[in-house]
Amino acid sequence: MNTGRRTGWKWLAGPALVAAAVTWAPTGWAAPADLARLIEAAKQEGEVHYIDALNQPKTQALLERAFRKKYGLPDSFTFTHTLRGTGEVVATVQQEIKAGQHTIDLVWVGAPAFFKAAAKEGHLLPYVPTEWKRYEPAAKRAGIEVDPPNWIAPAAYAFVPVWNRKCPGFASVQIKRWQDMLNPAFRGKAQIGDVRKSFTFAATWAGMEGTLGKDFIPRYVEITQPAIFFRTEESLQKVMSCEFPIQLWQLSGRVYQRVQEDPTLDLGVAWPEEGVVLLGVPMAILKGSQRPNAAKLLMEFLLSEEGMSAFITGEGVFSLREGFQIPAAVKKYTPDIGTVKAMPVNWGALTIPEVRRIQNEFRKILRVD
Amino acid sequence: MFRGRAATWPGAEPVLTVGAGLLVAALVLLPVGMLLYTSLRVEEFGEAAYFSLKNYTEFVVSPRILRSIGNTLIVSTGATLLAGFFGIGLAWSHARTNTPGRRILEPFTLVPFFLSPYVGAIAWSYLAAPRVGMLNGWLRWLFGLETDPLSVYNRWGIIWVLALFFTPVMYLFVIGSLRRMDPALEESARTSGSSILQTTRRVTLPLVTPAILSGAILVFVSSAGEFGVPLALGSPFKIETMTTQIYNLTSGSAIDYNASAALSTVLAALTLTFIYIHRRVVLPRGYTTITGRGYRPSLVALGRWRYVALSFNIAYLLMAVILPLLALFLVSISIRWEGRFDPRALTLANYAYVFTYPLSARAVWNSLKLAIAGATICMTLAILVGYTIHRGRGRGRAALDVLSSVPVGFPGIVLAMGILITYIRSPLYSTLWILLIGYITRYIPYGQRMVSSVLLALSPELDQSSRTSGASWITTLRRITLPLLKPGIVAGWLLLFMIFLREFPISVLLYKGGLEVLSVAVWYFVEHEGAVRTAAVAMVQVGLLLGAIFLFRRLAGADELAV
Amino acid sequence: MTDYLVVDGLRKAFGRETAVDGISFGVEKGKILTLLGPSGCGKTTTLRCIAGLEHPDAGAIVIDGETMTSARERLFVPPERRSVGLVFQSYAVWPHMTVAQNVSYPLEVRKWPRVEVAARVERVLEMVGLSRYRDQYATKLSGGQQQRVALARALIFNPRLLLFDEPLSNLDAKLREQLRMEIVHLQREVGITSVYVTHDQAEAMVISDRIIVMNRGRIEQEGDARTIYTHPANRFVAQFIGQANLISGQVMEVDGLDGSLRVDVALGAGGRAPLRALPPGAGLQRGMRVLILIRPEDIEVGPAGATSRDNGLEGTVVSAVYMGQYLDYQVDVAGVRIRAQAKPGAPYRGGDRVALGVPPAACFCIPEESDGQ
Repeated sequence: MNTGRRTGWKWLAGPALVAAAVTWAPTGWAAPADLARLIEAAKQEGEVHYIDALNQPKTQALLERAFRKKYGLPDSFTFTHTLRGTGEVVATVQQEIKAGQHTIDLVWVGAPAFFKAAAKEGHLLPYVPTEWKRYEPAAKRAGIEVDPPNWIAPAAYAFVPVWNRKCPGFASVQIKRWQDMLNPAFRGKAQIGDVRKSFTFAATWAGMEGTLGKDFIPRYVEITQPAIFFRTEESLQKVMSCEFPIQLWQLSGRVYQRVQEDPTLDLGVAWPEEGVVLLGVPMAILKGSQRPNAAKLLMEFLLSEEGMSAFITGEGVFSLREGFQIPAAVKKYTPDIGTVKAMPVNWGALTIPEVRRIQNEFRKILRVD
Repeated sequence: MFRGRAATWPGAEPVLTVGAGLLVAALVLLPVGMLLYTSLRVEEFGEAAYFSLKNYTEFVVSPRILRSIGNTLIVSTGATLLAGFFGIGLAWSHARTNTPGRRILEPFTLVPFFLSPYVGAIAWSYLAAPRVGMLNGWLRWLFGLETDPLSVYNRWGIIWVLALFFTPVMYLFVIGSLRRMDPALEESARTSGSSILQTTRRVTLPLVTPAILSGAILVFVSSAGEFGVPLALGSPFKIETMTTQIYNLTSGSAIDYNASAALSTVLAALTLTFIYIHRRVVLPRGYTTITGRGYRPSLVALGRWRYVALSFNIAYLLMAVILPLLALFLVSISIRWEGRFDPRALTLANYAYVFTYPLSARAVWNSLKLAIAGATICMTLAILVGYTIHRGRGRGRAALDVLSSVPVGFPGIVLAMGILITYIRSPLYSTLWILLIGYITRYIPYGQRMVSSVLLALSPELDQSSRTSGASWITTLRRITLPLLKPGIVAGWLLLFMIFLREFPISVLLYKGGLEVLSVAVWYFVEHEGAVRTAAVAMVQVGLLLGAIFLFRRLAGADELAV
Repeated sequence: MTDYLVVDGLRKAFGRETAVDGISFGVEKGKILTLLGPSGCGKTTTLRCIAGLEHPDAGAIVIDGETMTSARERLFVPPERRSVGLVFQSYAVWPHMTVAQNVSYPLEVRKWPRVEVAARVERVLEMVGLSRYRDQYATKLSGGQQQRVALARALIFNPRLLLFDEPLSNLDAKLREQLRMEIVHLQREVGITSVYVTHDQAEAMVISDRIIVMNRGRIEQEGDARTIYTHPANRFVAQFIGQANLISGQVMEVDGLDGSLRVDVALGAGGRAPLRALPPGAGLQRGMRVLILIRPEDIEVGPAGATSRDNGLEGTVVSAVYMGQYLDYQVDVAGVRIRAQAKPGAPYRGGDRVALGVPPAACFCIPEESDGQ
């Protein structure tokens, strides 16, 4: 029964693809008339719901204000956002696809393996936003995988070492290279991200293994005996409270956010010489979406000047938009992506089974269940 | 047996009692059945599903899951022993000794029973985490230590917090048994020439043993099914238990409902086995030592030792109530938390944040809505089911009795798993209704017990005399049965209200964006908002629970605290 | 004339336990019938079937010509439509209501006008002597007063039938006697047809127009108090009602003149003695095995050697207990223990030889065949 339905979808997917290509390929972007039609249709649908692993409530508030303003959406239009960990985002969306119960319209999460599988199964609604062409060159340069019209990736981030200079013994800590993390003084005070629950940690693990060698992480684990935290927000709080003052993988954008709130913080952020694993954050509309026009409009917005500006001001990560003016406060922690050395990652090899393998490797090395 | 003609038989009784019976049966059997079914399936995303025992023969027995099962057994055993030590000691000192202030201490001893163990674990991490624990700070300063003497981030920490919070369970069983015991049993030992301490050891203790075993089994089963405490104190520090693994399999990227269902089934089998042993082995051993006479048992005069007993009492209250709540409070009014309370950096901004941030603000309302609706629906069903079991004449009464107590054997997270996979395809999914269904299914036994205990104490002749006076079944229910059941209904409602206000494992598994409840907000704040705001949202929950306890004592009376 | 209450072939089992095993009886209008028997004999179950609180497995119950229960017609009238007042052993007085609220309840559920309810409650409370307690909570009253509340509640709506389920068993002896008389007076005064269940034979005798002795779900005997006491139908009834010496024997001779029997009584150690006795009716023949019932109060105790009278037996006093109104003797007659209650005038002691005199009229023969055991 299942297979029958699936072949049915595949059979439909082909013509749909062609139709999409015919609609979008000649112009490459939506003409103003199309946009007006999209806005009207979105208003009719009355709601849009996206899920991601990054956007903090403040960022979401910025985005919502700009979104409503740009398209003149009425107050009755509902803009819903769910924030979960990368693994949970994927799990939630998979669950909705499986159950055929769609509450989510757009998914935006750093798990390219999921997008590849979902595109193959025909669960994504092909769509290329008007301004995608401004993003494509930077994505290509940074080696970030995309697959338009199925899915695109307008932003990126990287996990880097972060520490709290205010904590006893950390005032003079300097991290220039990843190797500097292998310091016995950090024993019992360090953290590592929970690879078991996250695609992005797993990808970072894979990239670092490639550049730094297979023994780097085992040595870090052995020397520092790190605690394991999953959410970047929680783990940064543990850094701030001096409970675990240094960590291997944090988002520079999170540091930026906390400093915005409390300028007295003195947190160190390192961009190691060996380079970092640049993680694209793919975005796609779900085929089962009940509100495809609102989803398309949201995607248009997120890639627009206004959308990207609100997003980066909120989250402080890399934008792939060409000629984007990075706010000065962000730039202190997250440099221009063009100046960052990227560790090579074979994204094609990073399939779901490979992620599982890495996660089991993590279990073994960390001796966790 | 025959029934009357429709013309002479009012329809309300069979419709309501059979309807409630069937509803309870469906509520309980569906998730349990789905859990079993799912555990026997292998369903990979994008591949054809098939039946297999693989989840059991490969996953459950894999070394990492066996280690988690081992951890569950270790922390549950440890918590049972420690709670036994606290519970028996406190009960004995209150019921059988002249410990000063025991009348005042008694109600406070029960307070942890009504608070959330998950919040307790968070509070204890503010007290005894390495580097940032307040107690660690004090001890370092007091003894000039270089390193931290305490850490709750290990098995001992989990055992400690579980034991503190489940001590009241043990205490209630033991003090109940001590209070019901015929003093003549002890007096005859005394007149036979044994000293009061000999009597305690040779007569009192053996008579209380069945109650101790009952308490121990309940503490063990509750500890094994507890999710919040190992999540807070174990998971980030490499200690996984069965409940955290069940959760990991539903939340991480390694999501696998089939494996999760299999592990859930194993955990349910473990707890059901203990409950079966309890019913078959322990309960029949219980001595009937009840007498109608209200003689006060003779008290052991402890002499100078009574101050030791008092210190023991105060130490327990410090550990279980005062210190954790104090820590929560101090952290919640701090601008930032770095392990030391700074009286110069105080703020109410954290509370303002909790009440203005949409997620936590709606969590308060969602929790209140669910607690009120859940307690009301649950008690309504409990009344109908309890009435059917104890007053009805249908055939399914024994089955209904079993069915409506079975969920007790299912830890919250296990039942939530079953409910998730049962209702995920229904329109109830992603609405508050699925949480409501989860709460009701899991806690219908509590309501049923409260109703049944009152019903058992009420003579059925009170109802029957109303019928022979000319009142129909429904009039009798309204004018006689319900008013007589009122104490049980009020107590049951308030108990369920409190349980639902703090419920965590079912909520965290079933909630979706917009459906957050208080415990989920606490958990979300732990992961996203840091210590001070977490403490504030936890304090909101604690405040509501303490208010409910106050109400409980006012409305239901102190005796009803003994569940 | 047909009976006001008819119970026909009533049968009720609880699981494998048969509580009532096909019994039938009737009660005339205005009369009071007692179901008497040991606990577990089925008397309360019978009563509850009449009230409609149990569903019988078989049989029919008819009140005033109206069928209430009929297993064959699958008819069952619920208790509230039977107009039957029931007084429970446990009083079943509602603790959350005052005396007046308890008593007015049956009228309220019948939607009587408030004024009439008040007047009637007043009258009934006066009848049971509880007027000054009307606004007290019923369970604050003494047991006797609570039972009066229950009685008032059962009477107030003029039921067709008043049922009593051991109403006095929870009261102390003095109060029991007092309330027993009040119930008799009330029942006579109101003239209400009643069924009374008790295990107390003295209560049954005082209260009843007729008595049914029940055992193991069956009727052992039905009759008025005197018949049941003096002419028990079988060993069970003889032993259950009053105190009884039962001696087995064999009919030696049937006297054609006055119908009296000469019975050879078996004594211990193979001894035998002849007794003259009265037959239960016609039909006893020579050679039949019988039980001879002698009530202890009918036996005269005299000095040994004075055995010239009829039915003289000689024995040794085992014990003599002073009971106030009489002396209670246990006498060993050749190995058979006989109990006698004599005027305290002749104080024999343990070990004394005595002669026991039993008038033939006090020796009642029960055929062994009809012995229900």
